[in-house]
Amino acid sequence: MTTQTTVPGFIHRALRHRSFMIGLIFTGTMIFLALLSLFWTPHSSTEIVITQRLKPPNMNHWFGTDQFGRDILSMIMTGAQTSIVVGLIAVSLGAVLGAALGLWAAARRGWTEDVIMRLSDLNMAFPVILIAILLTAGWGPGITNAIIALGIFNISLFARQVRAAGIAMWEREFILAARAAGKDDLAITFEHILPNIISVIVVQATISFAVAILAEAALSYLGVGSQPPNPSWGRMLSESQSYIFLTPVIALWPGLAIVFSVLGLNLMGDGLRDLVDPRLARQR
Amino acid sequence: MSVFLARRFLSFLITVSLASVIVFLLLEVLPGDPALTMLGVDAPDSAIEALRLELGLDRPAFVRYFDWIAGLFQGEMGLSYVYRVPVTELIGQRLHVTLPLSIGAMVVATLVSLTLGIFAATNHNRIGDYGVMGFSQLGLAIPDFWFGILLIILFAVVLHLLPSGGFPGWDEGIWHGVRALLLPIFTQALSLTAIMTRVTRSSVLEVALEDYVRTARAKGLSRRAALWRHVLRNALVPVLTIGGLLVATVVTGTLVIENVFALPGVGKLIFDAISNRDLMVVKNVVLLFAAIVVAVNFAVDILYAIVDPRIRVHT
Repeated sequence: MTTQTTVPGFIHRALRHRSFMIGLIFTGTMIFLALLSLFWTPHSSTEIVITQRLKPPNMNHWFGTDQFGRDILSMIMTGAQTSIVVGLIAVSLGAVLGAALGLWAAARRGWTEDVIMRLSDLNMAFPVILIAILLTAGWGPGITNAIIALGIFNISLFARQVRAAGIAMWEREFILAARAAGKDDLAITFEHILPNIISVIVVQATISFAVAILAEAALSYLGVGSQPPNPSWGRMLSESQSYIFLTPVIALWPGLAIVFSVLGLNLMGDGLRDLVDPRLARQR
Repeated sequence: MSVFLARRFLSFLITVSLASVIVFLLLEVLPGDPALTMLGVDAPDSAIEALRLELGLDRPAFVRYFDWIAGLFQGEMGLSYVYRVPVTELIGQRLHVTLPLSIGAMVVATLVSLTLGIFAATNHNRIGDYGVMGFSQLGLAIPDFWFGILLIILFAVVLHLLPSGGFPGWDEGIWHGVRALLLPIFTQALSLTAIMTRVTRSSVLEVALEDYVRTARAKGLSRRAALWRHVLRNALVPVLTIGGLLVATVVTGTLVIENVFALPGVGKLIFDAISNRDLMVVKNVVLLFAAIVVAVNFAVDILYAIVDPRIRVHT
């Protein structure tokens, strides 16, 4: 599992990995558009211009306008912010807490591990959408629900992955050497285990990010995620559905934006997995 | 085996019990007064007081929790606050849509993914394989609700072949019901097919490299015979596992799909219940779904242990 490659060697291989590069370009484009929308969008993403409603794509509005005459391209760009922020917070939350629990379980084993794994079973009983439903029913709808629901869901995902990788690492001989040198579990975990399984966490984070974008869109589509006037791809789709008999084209753009981002992250994640673990790549 | 079974069953019971505690805490204890949650802050005090009495909110939370659980054991889920009918009855009616939708999606996904997966594996690293893998990569990236909208645009708006949503009920004739469920079933099947195709393909490829397959080929079996007799039987084990785990995805996926196609299923029920703040419905439906997810995982564990005896020793 350990990758002995140097950083320049890794970059060299990454540059030649086709699906990783395609994924990187897609993801980079999404992030660039989201950042750009912080300073500039072709039009305002919230300004309502009733005379311009449901216009097909034209020179002024490249993607056309929605039922309130808002510029769809600008809304897509601003909507990328929502997807990225939700994904980033939720995945970081899951990765940090999940990795901590997984490392702990791997270091301690015994009943600590049992308790953590049973908690993770319990966590698995609540798919994202059920957590979001519970939070919304109790506290009302909002983007925070989507973030918390996704974060909680990710904890057990990361905990399981990190535990499995960690246990394998603890059985290696250099850990025995470290222990013989007098290091305690905590020091070994942070100095030897974590650096060696960080690639597992990074790969999982990339895939989880893609899942988070899909889930955020679904929750916003259902009305339990991002709330108006904050543009969100999922809500754009749910609003567009009332107008598909009139202007089907407005239901295309937000969906394409989601596919583009998720595809990019998935390709990047698959590529990363190949790059950090060449044995897997050869098997495929 | 019996020890393994008992341990797994115990952990199944504990998980479901803890899940019920979490549902209860999140809906009825942490947000504050359930009567206030259900009626909103603008409701007159008298109405809130009446609902408090009706729900028995004067009693401590743990008494209410045990009442709820005791009721569940007798098949009682309480009354829906909005519809004024037993929640069990509401769920029962809605299953007429949700069950055929879930089963249909599972059947379509299994048939298509086995075909595609085996095809891709037998054409490994050839154009057919790349095509199938490309499809599966795309299937994973397309949000199911958007795919549903696209199907509506194509089959309802452009071609006028199928209804854009709604459900006439089974009394109108089986064909009318099936017609209404066709698009939802294919929508739901997309992501399942994408995942199961990948698993089938890699599993067939992996088994095909095993020694006993080489032996079978060496003793003169044709490629096709070796595939059907030796490879597929063993390759289907992981597919079965993933298929089992995906049941949970299907069940929660119906929550979304039913809203895309305005189908009166359990998924529509729970989202209507959220907007109506019908906590009784939300509480029981969420627990039902969580229990199904845990039960499916339990069943997959058991099945897997039957198929692969090594699992029993290690857990």
